[in-house]
Amino acid sequence: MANWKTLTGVVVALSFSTAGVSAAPDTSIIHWWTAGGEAAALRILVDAFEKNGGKWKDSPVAGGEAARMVARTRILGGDPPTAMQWQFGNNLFALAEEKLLNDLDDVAKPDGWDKVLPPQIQAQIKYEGKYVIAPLGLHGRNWLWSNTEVFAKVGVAAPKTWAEIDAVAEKIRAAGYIPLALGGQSWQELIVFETVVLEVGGAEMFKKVTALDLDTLGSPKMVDVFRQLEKIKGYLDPGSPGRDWNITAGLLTSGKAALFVHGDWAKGEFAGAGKSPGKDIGCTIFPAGRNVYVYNGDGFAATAVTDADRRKAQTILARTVMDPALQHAFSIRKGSIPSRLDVSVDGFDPCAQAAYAASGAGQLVETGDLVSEPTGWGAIQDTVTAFMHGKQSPEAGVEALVRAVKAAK
Amino acid sequence: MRLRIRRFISQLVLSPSLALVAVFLYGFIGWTVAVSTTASKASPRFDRFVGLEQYVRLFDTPRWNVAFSNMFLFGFLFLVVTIGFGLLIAVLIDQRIRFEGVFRSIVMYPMAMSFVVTGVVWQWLLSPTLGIQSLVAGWGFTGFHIDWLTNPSTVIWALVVAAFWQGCGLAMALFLAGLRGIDEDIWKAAAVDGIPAWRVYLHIVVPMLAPVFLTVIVLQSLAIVRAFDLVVALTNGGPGVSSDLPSVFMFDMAFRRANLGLSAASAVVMLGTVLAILVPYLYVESRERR
Amino acid sequence: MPGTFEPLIPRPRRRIFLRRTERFAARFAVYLCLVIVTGFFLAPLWVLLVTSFKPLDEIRAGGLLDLPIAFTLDPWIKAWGEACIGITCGGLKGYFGNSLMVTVPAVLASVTIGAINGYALSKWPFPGARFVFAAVVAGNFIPYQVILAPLAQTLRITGLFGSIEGLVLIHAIYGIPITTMLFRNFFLSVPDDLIKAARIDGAGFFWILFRVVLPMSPSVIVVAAIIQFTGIWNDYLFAVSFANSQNAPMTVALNNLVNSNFGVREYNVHMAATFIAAIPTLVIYVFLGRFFLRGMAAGAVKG
Repeated sequence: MANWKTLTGVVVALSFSTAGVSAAPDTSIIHWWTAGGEAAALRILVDAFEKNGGKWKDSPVAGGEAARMVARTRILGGDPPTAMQWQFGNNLFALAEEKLLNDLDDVAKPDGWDKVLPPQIQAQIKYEGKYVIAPLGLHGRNWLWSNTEVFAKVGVAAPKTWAEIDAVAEKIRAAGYIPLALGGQSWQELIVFETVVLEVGGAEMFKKVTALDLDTLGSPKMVDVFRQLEKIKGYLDPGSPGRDWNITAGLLTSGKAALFVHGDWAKGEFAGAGKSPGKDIGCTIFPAGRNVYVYNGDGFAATAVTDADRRKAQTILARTVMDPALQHAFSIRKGSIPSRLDVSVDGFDPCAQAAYAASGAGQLVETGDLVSEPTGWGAIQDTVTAFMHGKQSPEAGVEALVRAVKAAK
Repeated sequence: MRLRIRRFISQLVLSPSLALVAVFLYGFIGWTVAVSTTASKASPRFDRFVGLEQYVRLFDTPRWNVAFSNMFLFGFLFLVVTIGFGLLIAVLIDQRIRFEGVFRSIVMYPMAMSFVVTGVVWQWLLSPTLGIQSLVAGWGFTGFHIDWLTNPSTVIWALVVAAFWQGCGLAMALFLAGLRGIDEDIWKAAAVDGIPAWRVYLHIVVPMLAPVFLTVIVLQSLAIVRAFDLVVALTNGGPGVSSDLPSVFMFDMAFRRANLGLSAASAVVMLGTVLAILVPYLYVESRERR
Repeated sequence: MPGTFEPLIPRPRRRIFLRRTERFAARFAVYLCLVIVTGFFLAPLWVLLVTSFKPLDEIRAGGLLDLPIAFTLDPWIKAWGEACIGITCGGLKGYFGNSLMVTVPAVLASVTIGAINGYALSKWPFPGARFVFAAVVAGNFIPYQVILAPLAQTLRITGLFGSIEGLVLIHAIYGIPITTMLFRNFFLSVPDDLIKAARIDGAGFFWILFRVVLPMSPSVIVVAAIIQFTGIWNDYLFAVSFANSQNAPMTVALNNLVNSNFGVREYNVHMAATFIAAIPTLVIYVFLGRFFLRGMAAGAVKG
């Protein structure tokens, strides 16, 4: 009796380690547009994809890095998704280098992607001369948003460069407004840092910074950048540290703050608050006169699967993503601009029109997320945020910057 | 036959679990150590052996040094606060009070809540412009300040408060159960001798609860090592990098910064530290129990 | 008084030494402390609830601690059945089932394994049992984020990747250290004489466990089950990595709903969703908490 029970117990315990039920392959598509307006924009893509004969199996994962983590885990687990949303640049090339992707040249060649995509983007989505992602939209990072009503009340013109902001900040403060709304989280401060680098050294310096060039990072010009950051600290409100960007955008729309430096996805919050970008909320590609549009772009990459059905689905998806009509409708809903250059601008708000013109004029420059060695770029982000919340002198900040990037290399 | 099985039954029954633990815990710990000696980027690459270079780089990374020392600071404060207040609240609830069930539930419900969103709530509560401070200022007390979240030198307290909010219930429940299990004769004897209640608690009850302390410390230490959602939702490691913790650093390096080698090195250092502190304690405590 | 949850220790005698006013002051102090404690623990719930009943405009305008001016139930309706999670706009209601399918078997498995292990380690000790115990508990301090890759590969070998069974297995395995610790520490307080007597009567290992030891220990079973249930129900990392798109549990859906980084944040919906997702665990704490503690009062954590 006792023995029999003993054996059952052992068998039960063992069966936990050996029970095997194979799962059917998961043909889904991973993306991080999981909720709200982003999900609504995705819906446009899904509808177009299904109209073209695809079958969308949804696999939403919130957050870009979590989505990439899940995609990689699935590939390692032998159960890759059919396709996945991915960023241009480094992250994409890492996948391609490990031979985890199918190239999309069977669509790109006949459809003439070379002719309709800006050369800057082509450089970020081709690996060994072949397209490895279908690019969908671009988000701009270097925007200055201003509350038109607040500036009317203060009685000064809305500034368009950091130098102009320096000139009016005191007046704004004296009139009872927060000069600059900033969510003091490292990734938001990185955006501000980018715009200051553009103001101090233009596109040339910016590209050297994203290339993690140590001479540039330790140059006197970089000290100027940190001096400007020091000034910016004086334009903020006490609630800034750690604040979410959404709440921060609310300071601008509710008229508590005059200015806001943030990417174009903020337009969703403006619309939610009933303010229209370009009118109630003025927009400037920032700083004005630098002629640089710092962008981050993503699209859909095809995993290295071989079965015909999934190959076909990948082809349909790539073609759908690059459809001009789809890119037009999607951009309006998402607040981004199309990757293609031949899309109609009907229905774009004035800010999007300006951005799209900048893209057409060859002013696109990649943010470090796309082109920098990730640990080094992360070290810049860590140093900048430490500076923004510490008591370092600008010189010490630059020193810390060089040291951190060196250690990361 | 029967006798022989009986003799080794304990080992036999344990062996499947131990096999799983050997593979899924210790095997993977070994894997992590191996990865930490490579220059693995986005995915593990064992052909890029670099020795201890990742460890050198790790301690050259200012952010890691902050995260690492925060683990001690946060861990210590969290343990002290949770154990101290957990015990105190358990003692209060143990005073034959009315509505005991209500008070108990109120202390325990946060255990059920996910930090993904309640972290945001704490962010609001502790924000100087949105939260308690502005509320109290609205009542006329303008001198009242809570700037824990926005001040790099005190932000760790914000983490401690929110973590305590979630973790206290478990400690309280374990302590309360321990108190209820204590022999009533002790109270009678103490009463006859005229010993004040607080001395009975301090000198007799607390030592009797020693095993509960072990359980609480191990469970809460796990919470410290795993603290991730809390930091991401409440401070995102900021202001600056002042509230970073190893778990967040590790995730960032592995998945945001495509540096699995460095991430693994940080995991090994963290694990080694925790074990160096905990294992002697575990061993001694489990010995005294017999 | 078995069966009711009265404090087990009547201690009226102590009060003889306190005078009436002192006694009143002491009671007052106890209740005052408890009210402060209550305020602290309820503050986040207050914010969560008032926010969930406000329209988004009101949240944008600030005053986050105030009662709603324009009270609305819409966020709750949306979080429950309408909010879009990816392209499926059905709210959270469809994800309870998935979560239960993972949580219930995983809790049963890890509690069973923990009970057997704890019993073997404490009541049938062998040379090195203590070391084994310490090793099992200590190994659990490995951070899960770094081991996703080997875990995925191991699941691939067993053919369990992406299946519910695989996720259950993982939770059961990583629950072993905690449940083993709880049961072992509890069983130490069960008198050895009881086991010896049963063995002399010819009872075997499992007979004693199921007929003698476990019936004495409802408390620790409830404790272990509750801790495991909460942990597994709230797990995000394993769920998002190892469940596939069809069997995504509640936490994954909740994260997808609230963590849309570059989208507008509907805080009111998020708060309602958080509350909805926590209902099963809240029910356990609020309504089963009494059993939890009654169990422990019987000696679950007694030394």
